[in-house]
Amino acid sequence: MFSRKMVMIVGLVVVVIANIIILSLSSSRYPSYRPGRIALYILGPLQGVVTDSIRFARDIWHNYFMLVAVAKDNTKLKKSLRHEVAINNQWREIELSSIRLRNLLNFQNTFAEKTLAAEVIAKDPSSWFKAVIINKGRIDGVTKGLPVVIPEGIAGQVTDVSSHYSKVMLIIDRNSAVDALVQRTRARGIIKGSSIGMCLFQYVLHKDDVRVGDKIVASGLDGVFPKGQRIGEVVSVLTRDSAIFHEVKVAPYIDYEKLEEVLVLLTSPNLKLVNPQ
Amino acid sequence: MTYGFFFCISLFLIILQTCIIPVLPLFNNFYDLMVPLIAYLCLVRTMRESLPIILIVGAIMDQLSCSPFMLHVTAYFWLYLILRWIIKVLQVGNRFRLPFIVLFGVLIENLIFISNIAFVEPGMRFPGLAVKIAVVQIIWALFTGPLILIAFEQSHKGWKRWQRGIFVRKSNLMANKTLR
Repeated sequence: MFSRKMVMIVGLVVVVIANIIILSLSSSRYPSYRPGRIALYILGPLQGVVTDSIRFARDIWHNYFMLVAVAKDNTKLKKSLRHEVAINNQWREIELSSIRLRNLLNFQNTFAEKTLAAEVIAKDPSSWFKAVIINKGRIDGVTKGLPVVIPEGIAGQVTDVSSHYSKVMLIIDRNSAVDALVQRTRARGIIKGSSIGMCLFQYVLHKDDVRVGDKIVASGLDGVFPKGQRIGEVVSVLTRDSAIFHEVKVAPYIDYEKLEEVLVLLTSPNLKLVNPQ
Repeated sequence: MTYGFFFCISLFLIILQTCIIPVLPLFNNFYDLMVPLIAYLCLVRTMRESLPIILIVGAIMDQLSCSPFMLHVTAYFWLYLILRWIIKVLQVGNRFRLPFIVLFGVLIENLIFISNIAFVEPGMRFPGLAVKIAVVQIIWALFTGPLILIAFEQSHKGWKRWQRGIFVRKSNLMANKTLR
């Protein structure tokens, strides 16, 4: 009745339409779906092992071989110092990691509610989206929607959880949105990611005062991120006479390329800072 | 066994892409390593063999990424179909044309992602940095794409040899048993 070519064309049109419908529906919802969590179960341990190995190798490279290379220049002292340098390096590495963890711990103490430290073990495979995988999961008390922070500011939000691993959507991802305000003038808006390492501060009314250099903090009104948590600094403000809103670009305080350890706030929403300093 | 090879390769590439490449200094905007895999599947395997691999890998990538549900599956599926068509039309077979398959692949994947973003956020403007990401990926693809395809070819050959070795050993053992 129908030719093969006709059937193929109809099939193709149906597939394209179904594709567009699925993508448009899923794009407007939370980026998580249950059966796909199997990927976290399977790949999480592998990613953990590989990341640990890389860090181990990198630590050895930075703290041993490079200094050994420097020690080569100093041939007279090489023999006597090599052992000491190696030990010294180990101490240095321990000291650095101790400073980092102490900062995290001090920061942790500023929250009234429970927190959980986690390590970043993998990053988003796509350059267009920004997520990280952390080595804490449901067993550790992590649930979907919890906020993730570091001392410099807000990192993101947990979007998917397996037993030992979780996926965190960073605030620079285009799907992310944080209710925020300008610290100086209390002007409100929404911080949206733009996947290029910057955030856009949207829906800031034309009448509100926003200037380059202003600090942006979480308003706490989204019920996810604690009020007063730092987000970033305004780097550009574009105001058109006819527009209702300002066009504001914000540079986050966090260098997301170097994100290694994070803190998951286990009792969102409505977190309160004990000591805002 | 062929599926085994492609799943092992896919897992290796996913680990490489999510754990190793992000910590390398020059590889900030490296392209999706599944593109050369899909190009390789287009070149050497049938559609029936390739589609399950592509769909499963796409689903895994969707889960690891913050992308909308099915975006990677969609991108890989259409990428496969378009690359197959390009290979058929251009009769790409020899190694001089290999760089262009991966390059086309990276270009198509980026176009699919950009179209999705533009479709979801109609008012979204694409800043220069986003264009830069796409250009950097294309340049990387041009230089490393053929090497990755050759590496796939070699490891596939190695896998086949190993597989053949196992079967030969098994059949020898069986023959020895029956002789006894």
